[in-house]
Amino acid sequence: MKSSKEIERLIDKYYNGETSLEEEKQLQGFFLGEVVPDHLKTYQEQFRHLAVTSEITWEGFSEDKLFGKIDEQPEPVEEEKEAKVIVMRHTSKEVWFYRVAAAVVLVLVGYLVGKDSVSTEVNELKEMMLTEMEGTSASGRLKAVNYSFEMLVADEETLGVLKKVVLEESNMNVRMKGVEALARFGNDSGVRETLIEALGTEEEPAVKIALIEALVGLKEVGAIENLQKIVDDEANLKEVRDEAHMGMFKLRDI
Amino acid sequence: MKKVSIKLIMMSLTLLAAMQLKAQDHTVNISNPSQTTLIIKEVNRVSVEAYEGNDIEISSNSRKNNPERAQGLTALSARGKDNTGIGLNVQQNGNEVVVFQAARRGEGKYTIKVPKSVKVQIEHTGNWEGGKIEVYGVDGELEISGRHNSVYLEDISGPALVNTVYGKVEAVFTELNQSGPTSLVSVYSIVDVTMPANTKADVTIKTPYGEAFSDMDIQFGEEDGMRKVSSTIKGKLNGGGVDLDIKASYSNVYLRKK
Repeated sequence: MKSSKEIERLIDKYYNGETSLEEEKQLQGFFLGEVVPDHLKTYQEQFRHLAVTSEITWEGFSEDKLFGKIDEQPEPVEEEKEAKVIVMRHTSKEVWFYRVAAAVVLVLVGYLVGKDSVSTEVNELKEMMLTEMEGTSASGRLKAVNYSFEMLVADEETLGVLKKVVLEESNMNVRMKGVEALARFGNDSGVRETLIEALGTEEEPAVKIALIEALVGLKEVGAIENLQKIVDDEANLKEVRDEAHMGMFKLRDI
Repeated sequence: MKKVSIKLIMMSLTLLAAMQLKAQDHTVNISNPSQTTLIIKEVNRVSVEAYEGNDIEISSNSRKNNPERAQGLTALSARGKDNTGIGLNVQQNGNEVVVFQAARRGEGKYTIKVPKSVKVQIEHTGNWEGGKIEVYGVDGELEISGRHNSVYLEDISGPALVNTVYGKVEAVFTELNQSGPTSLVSVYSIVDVTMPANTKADVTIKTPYGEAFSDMDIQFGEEDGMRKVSSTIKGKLNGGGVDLDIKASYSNVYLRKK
């Protein structure tokens, strides 16, 4: 029987992976024995277990058989993999072609249908607008102007109608709304020209103020000249001249 | 004897008054009220009132008559002749009845009675003497444009397009006609609007230099992120409906429920 000192040394050696098979057998033997010092009892379970498992042998087990089996396995796996890969490679070009084609068709259909429905919608709005504009009712003409607020884009005809409202409409409520409506399409240089022109001819103070607001909002520096005229003309209301003055300042800052 | 003479005097006075009143009246026969547009231009202190009749009746409460020297002559003005005897020029062209002020009248008020379905256009671009423009009970479309005038509208349903520069706009609606937008604008004074609580409208209130007040249930849109500090209030009344624009550039807007 080895001393517990000797056992401790073997345990250290075991955990360092330095023990020989012989030494491991000694350890297993020791822990299988009846007398195990208390301070080594924590190792007992482990080495007993080791002793038991080292006893187990597999019926007819051999490394050759194991590697034989492993060698047998890859063959079908390889074949299957390769087959799949080949299938994919084989059809991949067509699949991609169809995928791309489908995507292109979808985009085209989406674009055309979308464009079509958008343009139908815009056309309907435009038709309603033109019809209302023909009428003698000022409320109807205001309604016509209001239709333009539902349009994201406006064609020349629509802009023409709105420009006419700003320059020629007799009712002030409609004209004022027209200014607001036309200013929405302020990216168009013709629109800005019309607003500047209207600023020179407009008589109603409320509409003048709306025009100044619109042109300053559009940062239209070209309006400064007409704003100066308003400021200089004492016939204009004080508030209108103030608004024009303020507008000039804002535009000069740009 | 004394009693009889008093009665006699009273009767003759009434008769005289009635005759005078008769002389202060002018009637325009119209065949189709709902197709008729009454256009009133530059008439000082005018009140348009709906009544049960089928004609347009114009009267003046002015006690001022033409001067004695003017006997046998008609008043003239740059706008035309007085063809009514009450200082107005009235023309009827198809479905339009156009009323101009022809003679200067420093006092009194014109009352024009109309069938309730006529359309009414009132325009006054003159100076301070324009006075108040009043409309009562008219269902037809209203188009009113003033400068120094206050506008008072009662029991109307619109659509109404009203604008004035210095005067107030006060409007009491019985309902809001959904056939077309209504727009009420005053540049320097308040706009005070009363609507039935169940009115459906897409309301826009603009008060660039003033404030807006209301006791109506305005449902504001989802675009709150965009609202920031703005003088424009957009919302829906009872789920939305016709466009209702109210603007007081330098004053306040009041929107009340009836």
